[in-house]
Amino acid sequence: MALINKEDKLCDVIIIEPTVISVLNRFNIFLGVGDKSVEQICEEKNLDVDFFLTILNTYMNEEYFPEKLLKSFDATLIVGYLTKTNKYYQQFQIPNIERHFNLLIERSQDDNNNLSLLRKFFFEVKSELLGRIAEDSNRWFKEISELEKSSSGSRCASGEITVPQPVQATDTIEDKLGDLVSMFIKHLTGSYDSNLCLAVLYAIINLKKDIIQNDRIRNRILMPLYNFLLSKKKNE
Amino acid sequence: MSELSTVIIAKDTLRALGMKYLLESMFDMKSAVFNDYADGKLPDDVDRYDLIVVDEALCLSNLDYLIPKKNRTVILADHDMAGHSWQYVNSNADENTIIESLASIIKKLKRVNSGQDGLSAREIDVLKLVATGLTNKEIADRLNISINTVLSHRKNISAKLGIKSVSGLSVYAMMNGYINS
Repeated sequence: MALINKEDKLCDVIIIEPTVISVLNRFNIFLGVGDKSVEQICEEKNLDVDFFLTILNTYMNEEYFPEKLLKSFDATLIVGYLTKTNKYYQQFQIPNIERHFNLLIERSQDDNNNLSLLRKFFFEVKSELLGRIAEDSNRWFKEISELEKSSSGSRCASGEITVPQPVQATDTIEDKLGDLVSMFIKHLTGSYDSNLCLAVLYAIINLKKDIIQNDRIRNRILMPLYNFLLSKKKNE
Repeated sequence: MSELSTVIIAKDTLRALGMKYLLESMFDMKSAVFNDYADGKLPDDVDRYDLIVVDEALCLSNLDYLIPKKNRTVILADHDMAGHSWQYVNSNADENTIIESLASIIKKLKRVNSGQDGLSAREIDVLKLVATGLTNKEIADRLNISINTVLSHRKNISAKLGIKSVSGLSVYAMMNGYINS
């Protein structure tokens, strides 16, 4: 997919990739965008157009990850976006999956306990995700914002930040959501309401995509930035 | 004729014969019937059957033996057991419900027996232990194999099932009756 420019009409972007609506909501942009360009909408909403475009392009293109460009933004800007992302998971995406899952089980035959097991698995993922969100808002994001404020305004050159090797001791939320999708697609048996089942599956696939795309920003940008700010403070 | 072998073990002869009739007429499955068992003990050769149909009392008195065979055990009940994790047929339900229950159980059994999930017997052994939360080292000790062999089995299981996480594998194992939910 071609990268979006500030001259592009936002409506065209949504038509090409409708799932981007969930990202736009985090910037207080809702449907009914008219024929305005990305730049015009950013001006109206008082948004940093470069940051907005970088996030949109990163979300829409799995292959696109402008590491240097992302590192040039203030940590607080990235934290602000990820905070809104967390809220979106918490207030919209998770409750939406849960609501449809409950209905799906309610309307399926009693002897189909596969769905109850899958819902139990989803609850485990939900609890892990909510735990991570709580940790972000109560500790990590606050700490990053404070470190950024106290770093006396001298931002590092992007080359100074080294990306740590990912350490994966346990299964990630992304892995578990992927497994949930696989179980629906490959291993589901028994009778169920097909429309509701698709609604649950689509919602999980969307959440998984969202988390994968945003975890790239979290792990490859925010984490090294945090480590850099932390070591800088220790050296002062 | 289906290649699946069935044994029906129940005190109530009429219910046992009714089940035998349904399995033969609707699913083309031959069944052996036992209703003369002593002290709640199962016949010695029960393990050779693909599907084990037992009445509730017999299931309760042989739980330790039947739990590992849960995916191929069916309780011949006289009431609704919805909410239980065991497969069951309610003999008091109407004919269509009984046939639908049996069809669903047999379909699942055929899927597992035909290796649709593609797992070998050893991979199923490893899956069961992973699903119960054992570490690779514990699994290696339990099965008398090296950790590398355990890792290799785990890699194959994940590739075949499309499931990576321990939680996901546990749910899969429960869904297919490999472990008790």
